[in-house]
Amino acid sequence: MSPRLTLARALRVATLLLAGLLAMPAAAFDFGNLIDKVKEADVSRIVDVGKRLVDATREMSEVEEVQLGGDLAGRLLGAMPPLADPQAQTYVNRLGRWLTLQTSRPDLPWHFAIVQSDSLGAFATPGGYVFVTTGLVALMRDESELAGVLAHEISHVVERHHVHAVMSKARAGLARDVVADIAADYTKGNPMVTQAVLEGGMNVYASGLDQEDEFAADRAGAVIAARAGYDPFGLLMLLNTLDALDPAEPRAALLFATHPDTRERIEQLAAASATLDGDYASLLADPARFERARAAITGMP
Amino acid sequence: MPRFPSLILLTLLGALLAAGISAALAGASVAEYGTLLRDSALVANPGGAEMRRLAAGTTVEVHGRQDLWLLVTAPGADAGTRGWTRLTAVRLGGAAGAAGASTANAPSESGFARFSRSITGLLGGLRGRETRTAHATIGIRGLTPTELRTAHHDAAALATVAGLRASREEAELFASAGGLEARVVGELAVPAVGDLR
Repeated sequence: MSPRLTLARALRVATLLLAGLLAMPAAAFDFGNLIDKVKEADVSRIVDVGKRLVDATREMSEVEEVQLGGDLAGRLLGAMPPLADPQAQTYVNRLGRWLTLQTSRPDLPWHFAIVQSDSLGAFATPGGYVFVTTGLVALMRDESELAGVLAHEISHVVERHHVHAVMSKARAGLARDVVADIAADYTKGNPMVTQAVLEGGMNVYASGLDQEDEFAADRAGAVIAARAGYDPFGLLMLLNTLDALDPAEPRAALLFATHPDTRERIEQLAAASATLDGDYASLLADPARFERARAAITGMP
Repeated sequence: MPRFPSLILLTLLGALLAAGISAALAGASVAEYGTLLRDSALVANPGGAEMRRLAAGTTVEVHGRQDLWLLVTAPGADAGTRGWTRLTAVRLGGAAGAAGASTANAPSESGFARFSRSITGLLGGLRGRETRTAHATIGIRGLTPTELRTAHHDAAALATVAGLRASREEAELFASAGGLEARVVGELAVPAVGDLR
C-alpha cells in the first residue's frame, strides 16, 4: 500500500470517526470500539485527534464547575443586585441550605440570595449559586412555595444542567479551533475560551435550558422539598399563580420565554406527583416566619 | 382640665381599634377564586363520590387544599355547597376579587385568605387592573435577554453573596424551629401520556 493511499484512507476513517464522536454524548463515548475498526489506519494520529475531543467533552471537575458558577453568578448579579437585607438573606440561605442537605451534593459551596428585580424568576449557576427575585417572592403564599422554587433550582445544580448547556454552547463556538480541553483552558484563563464559555453561559440564561431539564427539575424539586419536610406541592401552587398571569405580562416575559408552557408544567408535575401525599403542610410549625421575610423582601404587609 | 385629654385619647384609641378590626375583617373577607378549565366533578372528599358536575368556565371560591385537591364553594342553585375538585382543573386567581361571590364560609385566617389579603392587589396590578399595591405598574418591566447577555460582572455583589453562606448546623436549627423533619421520599417517574389530567 502506497503512503498516499494510506494517508487518504486514514483521513477518510478519521472523518468518519470524528463524525461519530461529535454525534455521541460524552456519556455514551466508546472510543475503543471505534479504534478496533481502524487498525490499519494511522492510529496514533487518530488517537491524538480523538483524545483532544474526549478532553473537550469531558465532565467538568467540581473545582472547575464552582469557578464557572462564580463567574456566571457575578454576571447575573450585574443585572440583578442582591437585596440589602441581611435578615432576609440569612433566612433564604438557611432554608436553601436545609434543602441541599437532602440532595446527593450537600457539600457544594451553596450560596443563596434574594436579588432585586421585578422580573419573576429564579436562577442557578454551576457549583451552587441560587438566586430568586423579589418579584417572584411577592407572588408566594407560603414557605413551601419558596422551598419549591429553590429546590427546582437546586436540582439544576445537582444534575449539572447548566454545565452541560454552557459547555455545549462553548463547544459550538469553538468547534473550528478544536480546543483540547475547554474546561481546563477556561480555568487557566485562556481569553478565547473564557469569552466563549461566558457568552455561552449568559446565552443559556437568556434563552433557557432544554425543556426536558425543566420538567425534570420540577419533579426533582418536589422530591427535594418533600424530603426536607415541606409540602411538596408548593412549586405546583406557584406555577398555578403564574399561569393566571397575563401571558403578555412584561415581568414574566423572560420566565415564560425560557421555560415550557406553564399549564403543561402543572399537568406534568401533578401527574408525576400523584404518589406524593400526606399531611406535609401541618409540619411547618412557624408559618409567620415566611410572612415576616416576605414583608421585608417585598416591602408589602 | 385633665378629663378632656383623657377623653380625646380614649376616643382616638377607640377609633384606632375600630379601624384595626375593620381592616382585619376586610382582610379576612377576601378569598381566592379560581376558574374551572374543564368540566369537573365536585366531590364530597378528595377522591370521593361526585356530588355534582361543574362546567368549564365556572368561577369557584377556594378555601383550602389537600394534596392535589382544592376545597371550593360552588356557585349556582345550591350556592355555598362545599366540595373538592382537582387542583389541575382550576386556574387560581382567575377571578380574584370577583363581586358577588359568597364569602360566608371563608375561614378567617386560612393560608388562602392570608395570601389573597396580601397579593390579590399585586395580581391585579400585574393584570393592569389595580394600582393599590406598593408596586406601581407604570415604568416596571421585566429583565430582557439582552440585559442578561450584556450584564457586567459585579465583583462586589458576588463578594456580598459569598459571605451569606449558611452552615449545616444553622440549616438544621432553621428546620427544627420550623417543625421540619427530613423524610424518605422516592424519585418521581416521568409521567406517561395517559397519566396526564
